[in-house]
Amino acid sequence: MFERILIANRGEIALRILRTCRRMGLGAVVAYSEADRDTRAVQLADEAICIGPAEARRSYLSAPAILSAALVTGCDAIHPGYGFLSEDDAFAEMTRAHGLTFIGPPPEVLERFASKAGTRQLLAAHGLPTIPGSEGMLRDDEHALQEAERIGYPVLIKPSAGGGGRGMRMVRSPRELQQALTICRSESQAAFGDDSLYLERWLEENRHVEVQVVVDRYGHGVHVGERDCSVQRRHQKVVEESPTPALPEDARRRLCEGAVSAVVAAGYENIGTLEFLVDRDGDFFFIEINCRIQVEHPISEMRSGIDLVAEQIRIAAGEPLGYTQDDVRLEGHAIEFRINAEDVAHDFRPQAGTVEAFLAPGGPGVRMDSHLYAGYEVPPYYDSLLGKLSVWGPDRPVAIARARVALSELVVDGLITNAPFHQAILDDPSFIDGSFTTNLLDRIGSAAFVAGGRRS
Amino acid sequence: MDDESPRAPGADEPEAIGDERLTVEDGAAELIVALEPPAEVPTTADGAAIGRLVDEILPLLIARFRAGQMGELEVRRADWHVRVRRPADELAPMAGGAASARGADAGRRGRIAAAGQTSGTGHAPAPSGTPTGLAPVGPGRPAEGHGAAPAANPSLVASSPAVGYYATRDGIATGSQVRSGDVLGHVDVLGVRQEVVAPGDGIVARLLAEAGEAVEYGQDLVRLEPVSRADSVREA
Repeated sequence: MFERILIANRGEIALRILRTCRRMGLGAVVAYSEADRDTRAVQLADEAICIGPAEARRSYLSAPAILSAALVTGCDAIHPGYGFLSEDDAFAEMTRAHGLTFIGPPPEVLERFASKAGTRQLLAAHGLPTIPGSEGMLRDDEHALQEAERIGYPVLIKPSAGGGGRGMRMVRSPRELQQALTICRSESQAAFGDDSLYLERWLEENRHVEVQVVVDRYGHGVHVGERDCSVQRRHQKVVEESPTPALPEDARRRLCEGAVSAVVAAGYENIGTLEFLVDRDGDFFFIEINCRIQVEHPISEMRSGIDLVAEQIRIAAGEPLGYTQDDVRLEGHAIEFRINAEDVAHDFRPQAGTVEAFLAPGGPGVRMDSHLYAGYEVPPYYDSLLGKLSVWGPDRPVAIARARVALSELVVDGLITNAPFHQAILDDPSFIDGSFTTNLLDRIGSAAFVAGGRRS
Repeated sequence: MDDESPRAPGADEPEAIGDERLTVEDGAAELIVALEPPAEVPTTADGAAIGRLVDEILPLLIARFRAGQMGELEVRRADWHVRVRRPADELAPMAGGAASARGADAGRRGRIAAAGQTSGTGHAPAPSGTPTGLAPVGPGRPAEGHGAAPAANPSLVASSPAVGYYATRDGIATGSQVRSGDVLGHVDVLGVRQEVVAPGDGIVARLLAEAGEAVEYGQDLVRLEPVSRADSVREA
């Protein structure tokens, strides 16, 4: 086991990782940028080290800065959190070259699963159904038109690199396709430095369901259930829950068991998430794998009692899993709400500024993962996630009722947050009956959605 | 990334500058290539080595770099090192929060590495840097009372440009007279030296870190008593 871990991330996830290091009795050093000097994780760490200026490129994304920080503070492993360098195989390789351990999949595993198209082929070969799509990357407009014709409209244009909805467009006709290709190319070039695109069949009224897996180095793997992330705004997750209300229990079991056996067979290692689209007939299609801890991991932890960050650390240290699928008990229902510093009324404009008061909700089945405190200044340089409110109940109605109470208790003064938006979601009939799809928020229009929620 | 044939950025028009350093841009990634000759052989870099670097190694490196999310990548060999850095405005926003890092200096940076300095560092300039020569790195600022207005007799502090092990430059000691931009020491980052630069003209008042000490980014390293320009002219 490691002695001292460098946490190379910020915000709530730095704090989350620090808590597990503490619980496991491991030393923890927090690497931070100049803009994050006053964050909670920096205050609580055994040691904290400034690695660069606010600009992420020269701090959280600078491999030399992070590696040097780990070496001068005597760490033997680096936890990258999510985002930043968390799935970068070259960084994982450099970490190893400096005699340190990357907490995540080993570099060769990251490399094997780095290409989305390659991963789909690999896992399809191990039995996972995939969405009909273009053969490889689109060569030019003509190739795109031919492939779209073959797949059948509507189709979704997707960039090979990156994520987060950039460079993605759904089109319903050849004319729309031609117009969108130019936009998608320039968007993905700007966002990811790579303009290669591919096509996928668009599933109307689809749901986004993902499976959490935990796989050790010795080929033992379990799943920790699935999460439904269909409440999205512009392809960004807003609310996640487990189990998914979209599938009956036997279908959920088939989905999760199929996912874990495919990744074990394909040689995956460490924790990971397989994302699927589920169509209205309940058929599911694998889309991509995330080789890191996810933002929404707490709901899986609440249902299973498994500390996923601890599993990540143990597996990276070479420990065997030590339990089987039968030992994993998934109980009740959990929902997570991403609390963002966003002004919903003004197109979700990100907010920065000083937190004047912060009161976290509590009570049975309530968990708040947040780095906020009164007086903390939210810097403008990074994403707008202030924390995650997760609730658990023995069933979905109780979880929803607890969520309403918890959201009403939450106080974040000094900044505008999206908490009213979550209250509106909880009042939406399609959320309450579980029939919502990924179109929910984009179709209704977010401002109208909040206004509608208030009226009812 | 899968089917993109990597171009050799700068193979077309390398902005060859100085004798040990060149900066090339292809719009997607800026490269700062610093060739560091072995310590005891202060020759100019070998033309063939540069050719191989540009034609063979860089394209591979760029392709690899593009495929990932890293903001900065550095590869070292015995007689050279290469650092590839992505312009700020091209970084994808990520869940973990790399987002709108205001890329104010991205456009300006292309020209910066033009200074023919030895022992290149490829370090981006401090925001106040001027586009000539190597701008002082790390925030040079009045010491004492962080953020408070400079007192009647303000002093200047040279701070660390990076995380690593610090060493004062030979010949720099309490009492040394230095000029703005002079190298006072360096910070060793994974074997690459990053310079600690005087933020103004002055006399070394105090060395705040010892040789071999681990230092963090922005840490105060050398305190200077400022000398006004009039004083320096008189002395000169």
